[in-house]
Amino acid sequence: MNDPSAAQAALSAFLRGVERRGAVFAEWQGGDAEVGDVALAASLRGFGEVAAEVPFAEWPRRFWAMLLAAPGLRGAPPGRGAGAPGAAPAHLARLGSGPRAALLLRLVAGLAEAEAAAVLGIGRPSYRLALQRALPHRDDGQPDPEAWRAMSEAAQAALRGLPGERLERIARLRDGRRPKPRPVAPTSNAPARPRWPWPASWAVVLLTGLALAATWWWPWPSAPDDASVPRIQTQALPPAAPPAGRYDPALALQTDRDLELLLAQARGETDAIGDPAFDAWLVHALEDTSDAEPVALPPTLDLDEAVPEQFDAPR
Amino acid sequence: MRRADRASRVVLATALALAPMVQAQAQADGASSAPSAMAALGPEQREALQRRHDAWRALPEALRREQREAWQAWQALPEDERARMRAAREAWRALPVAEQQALRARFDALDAGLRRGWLLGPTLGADWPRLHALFAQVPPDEREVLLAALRALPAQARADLGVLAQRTPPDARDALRRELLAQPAADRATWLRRRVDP
Repeated sequence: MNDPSAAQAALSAFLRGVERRGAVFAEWQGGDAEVGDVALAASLRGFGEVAAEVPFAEWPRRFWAMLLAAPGLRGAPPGRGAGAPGAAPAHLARLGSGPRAALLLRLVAGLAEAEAAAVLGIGRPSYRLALQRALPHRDDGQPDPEAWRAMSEAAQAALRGLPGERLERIARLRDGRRPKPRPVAPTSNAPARPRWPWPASWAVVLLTGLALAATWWWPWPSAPDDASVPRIQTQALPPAAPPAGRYDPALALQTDRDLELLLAQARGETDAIGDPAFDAWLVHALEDTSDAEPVALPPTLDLDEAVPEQFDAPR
Repeated sequence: MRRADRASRVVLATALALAPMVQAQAQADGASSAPSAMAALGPEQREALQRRHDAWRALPEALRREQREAWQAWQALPEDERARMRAAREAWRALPVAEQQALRARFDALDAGLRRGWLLGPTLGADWPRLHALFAQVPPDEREVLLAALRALPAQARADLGVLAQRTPPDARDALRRELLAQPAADRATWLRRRVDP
């Protein structure tokens, strides 16, 4: 396995050997051929990248575990297209995801019990139990060998009948090429796209246009031609009721902050006041008209220190 | 001139401190007299007062504030200072009109804060730029006492106090003020002299 070309040849041979089984396994496990093919292609590509680090004996276990872990194969019930050739047996649809995987690892992948258990990450007794539960049973609880044989034959038929173009498509998916669109099956039960939205949209556009045009040409009732009749009708309001209460001017006077001053004015006491700031300044200015500065500041005084005092001013 | 500018700045900064001080004193003087004066009015006088009130309310707020401050400042002044101011005004009126206008122009050219400082009267108005630091944090109930004490000091003592006020850090000014007021009124000038020039 140290020879790269030999390793590549072994890998190609292994992948060719598992791709048919993988396709049927993925379709039956996930319930959808297309989803299964995408999952298989991703697993084939992913396995090709890690195969060199995995011992050859581990390849089957690793590959099937990788395929089983694909997101598309989790939980979706099989059964779409049931009855078609190569379709999953109806029995599979009644199984849960885990028992179905246990059954398919044996039936389609053809793994031995030990390998199948390793793929599922469980012990052999657990796998055996799961497989027993997954096998078809008769109504009385006994295993149904005929049903099992029928399932086995169906699996073989599906493996043999896998069309070549589907394998090519999987190969393209694996290599990252865009697959050809599959021909639309006449039995496709996808809901037909309704045909009415487009005509309905055009009808709405047309009606909107007509409604817009009607705002110009619709015969509105014309305004009266008589100029003496005002276009806006007015009606005088009834006289206002007297207010429940008014602000009493006497109360306003009694509570005025300047009442003292007003009383002083009424008594004539304010006539002598004049302008106190000017008068106080005049006292000094007239005493020494040559210098308005009343007292020379001491030389030790630095007034700049006092400027921050403005922040100490009381509120 | 530069020194005058600095002084103006100081006084402007303390103008806020001045107004409530003057106002508080004036309100303390007349707070209780208004209701009784109102009750004593006859109906006609009351009507006249009501008309006066309406006219007062119609004045611009700036004008009302100016008149209010002038009245409150006048109320706070002691009688001797009022007399000096009245005498100065009479002397000013006796001057020729040109000199009157020149003096008025000099006063109007002062900084607004400096002009407001003169509302404290001729004695304290001159010292206000240096004394304001002591007033900045005075509780309202102490202001009247402090103003009276300051007015009673001689000019040299007020100058000494101004120097002390500037030398004392803000957090020690309370203590300085209380110590000063704790001195007997007659000893305060000496005490201040000693503090300035030990």
